[in-house]
Amino acid sequence: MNWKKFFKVLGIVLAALVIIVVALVGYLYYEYEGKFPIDEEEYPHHIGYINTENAVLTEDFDLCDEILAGIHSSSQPKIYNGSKYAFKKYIRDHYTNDSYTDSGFLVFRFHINCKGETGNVEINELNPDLQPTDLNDTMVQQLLKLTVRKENWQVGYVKDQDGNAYNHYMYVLYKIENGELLEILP
Amino acid sequence: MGNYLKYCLSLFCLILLFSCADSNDYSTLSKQERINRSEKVLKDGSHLFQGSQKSMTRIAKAIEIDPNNCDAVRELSVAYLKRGMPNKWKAQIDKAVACDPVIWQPYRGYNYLWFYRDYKKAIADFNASDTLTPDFIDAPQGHSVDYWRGIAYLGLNDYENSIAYFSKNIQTETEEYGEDWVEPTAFLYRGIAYYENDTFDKSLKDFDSFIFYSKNKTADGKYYKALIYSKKNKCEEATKLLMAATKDFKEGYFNNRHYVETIRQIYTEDLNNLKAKLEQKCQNKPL
Repeated sequence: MNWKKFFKVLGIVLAALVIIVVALVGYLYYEYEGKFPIDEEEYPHHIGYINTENAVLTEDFDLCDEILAGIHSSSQPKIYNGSKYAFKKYIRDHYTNDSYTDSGFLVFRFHINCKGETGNVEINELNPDLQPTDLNDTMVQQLLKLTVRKENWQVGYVKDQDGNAYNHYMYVLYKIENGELLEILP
Repeated sequence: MGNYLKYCLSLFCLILLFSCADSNDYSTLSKQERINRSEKVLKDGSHLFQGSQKSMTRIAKAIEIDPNNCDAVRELSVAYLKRGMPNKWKAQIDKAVACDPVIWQPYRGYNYLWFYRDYKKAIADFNASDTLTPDFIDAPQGHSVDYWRGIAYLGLNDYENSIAYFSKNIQTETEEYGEDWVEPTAFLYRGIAYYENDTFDKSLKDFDSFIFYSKNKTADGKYYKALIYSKKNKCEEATKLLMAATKDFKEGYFNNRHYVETIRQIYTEDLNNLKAKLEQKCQNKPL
């Protein structure tokens, strides 16, 4: 047997197989992910990204080195500590309409880290037609304080393989009419 | 050496083959070719994570190729809707409505209804669909606009109109397909509207229908029946129903939705509150 020739053929076959596998994996990656470009100018981040430069309660707040859940599928209702009933009751029991005349929507988008702490809150103040407006600062601050209260939220119902709780993305939307809370969503 | 050069040339050709990219110049394409290309771009990336940079870029590209691809125009709004960014959603969904009002105006109403609880704007969009398609009852997200209007009027506490639209929906579906084709929650919501109007007999009938079509597994239907029996001071019936409602609730049989709380959603606290009320009310009555 000509071992030299045998190993040469074997080497060529193996090399060809490796090239085919690499090409196939590369092709599949290209078809599934690689061929889709990103318009960095128009979409510098995914939708829902919170830019901490435009957020409040960012100091002394850090996300854990874990997955951020709740981006695609909403974290509600499990993210509410106890239930959404309890969250709504707490807000309604503690909120005071101090003769506010504002109507529209107030939205807080924020993070809850793996320890259940809240931070990185982006505030959006909108009129009834969903256009940016300026709502009463005292009312906004009052609702912000009530919303980010740590006891409102629970984490740990989804965990990684090592048992670490995820961080969560969450938003709370208040529909307001003359300072009264008509709806608390989601 | 000659063989190696051949191999290198073959590899170079292969790389060239896979390096071909779509041209960004669509001016030479016919209208139909642009429509086809746009649909392909949208469809090819449908597996991408919704709201990701790649997904958004590819939807925008589909619109760039064919600005009349109204599905793509609408698709660009969805991530904003789900992630609590109403002003961004509004800007985009309005473009979709302008692009194809027949399809997307009632759909916008559905979004106003559930994600923003803007019942009046929702009703305005549902009403517009009557004008846009006078011979056809639109069904955004799988349900008739009459069903959605019934819910919107329930949200406004306008029980007369709520009942009227649910009745129209139930009657239409029953005549066309049979009562078992009616969305069961139409009975639940109309029952709640009757309950709020103190029309308890009709309310009970609707809750019975809802329980029947829910295969006897519904906390909501039993809870509302228990509320009525409680009001009628029928302690034994109310207590039994409440126990059954609590069991169903614990097993996960209660009315709820993805992404947002549903209208008149019940919670453990509602069941416990009624239990406490019944215990107080029925102290001296047989249970």
